[in-house]
Amino acid sequence: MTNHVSKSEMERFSLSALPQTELNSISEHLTTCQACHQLFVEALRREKGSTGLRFTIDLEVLLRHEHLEYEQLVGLADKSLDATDREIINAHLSACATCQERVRSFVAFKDELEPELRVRYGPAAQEPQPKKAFWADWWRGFAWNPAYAAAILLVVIGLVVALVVLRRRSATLEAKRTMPSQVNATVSPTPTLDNQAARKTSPTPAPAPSQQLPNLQPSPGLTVKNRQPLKVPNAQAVAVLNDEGRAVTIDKAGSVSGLDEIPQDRRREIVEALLAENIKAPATRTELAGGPLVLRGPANGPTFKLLSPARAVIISDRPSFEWEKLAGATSYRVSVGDLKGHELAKSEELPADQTRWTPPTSLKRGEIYVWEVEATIDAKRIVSPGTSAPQMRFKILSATSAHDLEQLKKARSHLALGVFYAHEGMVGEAEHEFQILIRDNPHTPVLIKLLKKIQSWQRQ
Amino acid sequence: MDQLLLPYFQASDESERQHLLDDLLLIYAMPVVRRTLRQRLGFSINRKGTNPHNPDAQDLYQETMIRIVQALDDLRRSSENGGIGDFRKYVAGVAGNVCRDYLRTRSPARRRLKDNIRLVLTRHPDFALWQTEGDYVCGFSVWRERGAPPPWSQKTSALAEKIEEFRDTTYAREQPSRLPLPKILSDLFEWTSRPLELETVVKIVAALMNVRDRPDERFDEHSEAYLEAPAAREMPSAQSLVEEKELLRQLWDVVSHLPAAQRDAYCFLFHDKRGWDLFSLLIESEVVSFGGLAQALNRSPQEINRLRSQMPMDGPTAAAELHVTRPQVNKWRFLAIQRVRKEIGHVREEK
Repeated sequence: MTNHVSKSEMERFSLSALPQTELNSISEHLTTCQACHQLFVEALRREKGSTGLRFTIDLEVLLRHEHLEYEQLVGLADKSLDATDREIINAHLSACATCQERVRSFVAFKDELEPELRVRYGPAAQEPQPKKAFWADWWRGFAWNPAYAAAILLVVIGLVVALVVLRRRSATLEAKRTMPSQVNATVSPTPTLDNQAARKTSPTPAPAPSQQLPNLQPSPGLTVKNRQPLKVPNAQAVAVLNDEGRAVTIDKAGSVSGLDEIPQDRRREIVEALLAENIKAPATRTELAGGPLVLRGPANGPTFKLLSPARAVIISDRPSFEWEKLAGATSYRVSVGDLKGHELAKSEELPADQTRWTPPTSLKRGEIYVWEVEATIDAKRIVSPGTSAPQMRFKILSATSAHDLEQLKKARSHLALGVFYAHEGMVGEAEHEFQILIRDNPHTPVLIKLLKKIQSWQRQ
Repeated sequence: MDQLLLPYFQASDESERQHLLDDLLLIYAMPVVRRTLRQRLGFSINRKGTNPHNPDAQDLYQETMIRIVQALDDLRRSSENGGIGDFRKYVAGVAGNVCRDYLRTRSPARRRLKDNIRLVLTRHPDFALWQTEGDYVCGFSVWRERGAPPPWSQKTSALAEKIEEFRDTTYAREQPSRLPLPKILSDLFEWTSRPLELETVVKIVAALMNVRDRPDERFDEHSEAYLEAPAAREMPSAQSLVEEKELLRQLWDVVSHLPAAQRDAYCFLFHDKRGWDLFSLLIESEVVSFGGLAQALNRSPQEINRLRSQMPMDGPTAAAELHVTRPQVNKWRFLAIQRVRKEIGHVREEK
């Protein structure tokens, strides 16, 4: 380009508001033409104005929009990031509350997920197989496998031989009853190298058929990948369960094996539940159901829901109270009291965008509490639960039970945890544990019965 | 009425009015909108009003411009012309509202749910997440191993109905929110019998678990707080042109000696308080000429102009320009900032 650029053209160039070919040729021209370059500088100055230069070198400010990508989140949770990456993320997190919460939530979920990773899923694993199908499959496989057929033949021959030998020996014994000393010498030889060698040549009673059968493996439906196969149930067992990889057996006499690390009284509760195929609803369920209706004002007007804790037994003694946002509310106030109506904790006036509050101090364990939220809207006070709703109650797990729970968690037994939660009235948690058990033991009616029982409490 | 708007309102010829409107938008509105999007959301828009690397940014820019054109048109048609006293301020207000509306549509809770779903899909051996035609799809890992059937798809309008159908058939007696996430995913895949797009899974699980699209007000307020109090932050400043030129000279001296990747990452994302890009500032203050800039960066003049039209860039744009990931851009930029802080961080204290 040899032609110089006009002032108006240069202004459009400065704004990139020209066709691409013109932008390109002016760019080239500017490297050789001092006069046009000066025109460009002046166009930029007019655009910029006279305000002074300010720019930040603060990392927090500069990185505040650099929100975390999923891979960074994973790297942070896995502790696989290098020091520079961590420093960059920390600088961003100190300026971004949203990403702070995202990281906290992700790390917590990752920890929660760990035990769940051992539970197996897949189209096949989910297909329930009727019990008779298990035996049908077993026989089908047995009949069609030549090795098994040969084994059957050997077993039958062995049985016949054993029967013949036994008859002969019993006849011999019968005959020698009149000569006791000789009988003892023959029947109970002291094991020595000599007589052992002799025994090898003598006919040996055939092993019992069951010992010669191929080892019974759990059916595909009972097998959970990556878990130890279950032991063959003994005749007296009422339940043999796969509980987080270990075999838990409970027999008719009430003996339990596989839960050695569970305290005696908790084991007894488990046995009782499995033998009775029932768990009694804890009294807490009724106590938490509601209580008297307390008139708090006119029933009409806007309402909002209390979300959590809601008629539940909770572990934390500093619960996080959560409620629904009420459109138009300018503030909220939370109050917590006991069943006698004494106020035990009260929040300050919370801003309209805050729908969660945690009391600054712990509440006493083992007690039932009532809580409510008062919203202010157009200078009016709206209280939830409303006038026609029962009180919102919750219970904090007692200190003893909280301690027991810690111990049970270490034992990693879904069965023990499920029964514990059920006894404590922690329905959701109990349901969760039994669902894992049923997934791992899909053909165990007692577990299904217990789960249904627990679920029925929620509908009451 | 702002004097800038008078020719537009007084124009009788339609083509002349259109020409004046183009000028108003290009010369006065666009810089304000670009700056607002940059400051409030960290989004960049090039001087042509587009950003192929950040569709949200482009949508917001267009939304702002549509609102401004609509407002000008409404004012012109009405008899009262006293509506806009300061056009630039008005534009900043509209752009600010568009940013605020955008923040309200974001749902951090849903984002967190998506993180969790991705973690389950990538960590649990029985699930898988893979890409098909650019979209993420997921399902049982055996499906992927055996060659997955085409993804389950539903029209957006029918999705809500399908979710209810799934809820009724699978969770008639239990609350899905009480179940572990892998179990819900397994149930869903069983129900569809085929892979689903990740976004569809997030929508369905969010509905089942009652994850609501609530705006994160704190985010908005937090950003606002930063914008309101920038002076409290470390910020070299120059009040006179002489000081400004000296400060930029020092900055350019540091930046031009950085490793090329760090230098580019710093330059592309740099913006001053008013949203100006570094190349324009350097040329305007005559610290370096247009040709000198091309030489120093070892790029053609056309390339320098193309880059300047996109600057200040946002993370996705810079990443696309440098052919690396966003975290890598951040890393280079971070190292560059540390060097700049070390070399010229004293400027503010000296003043």
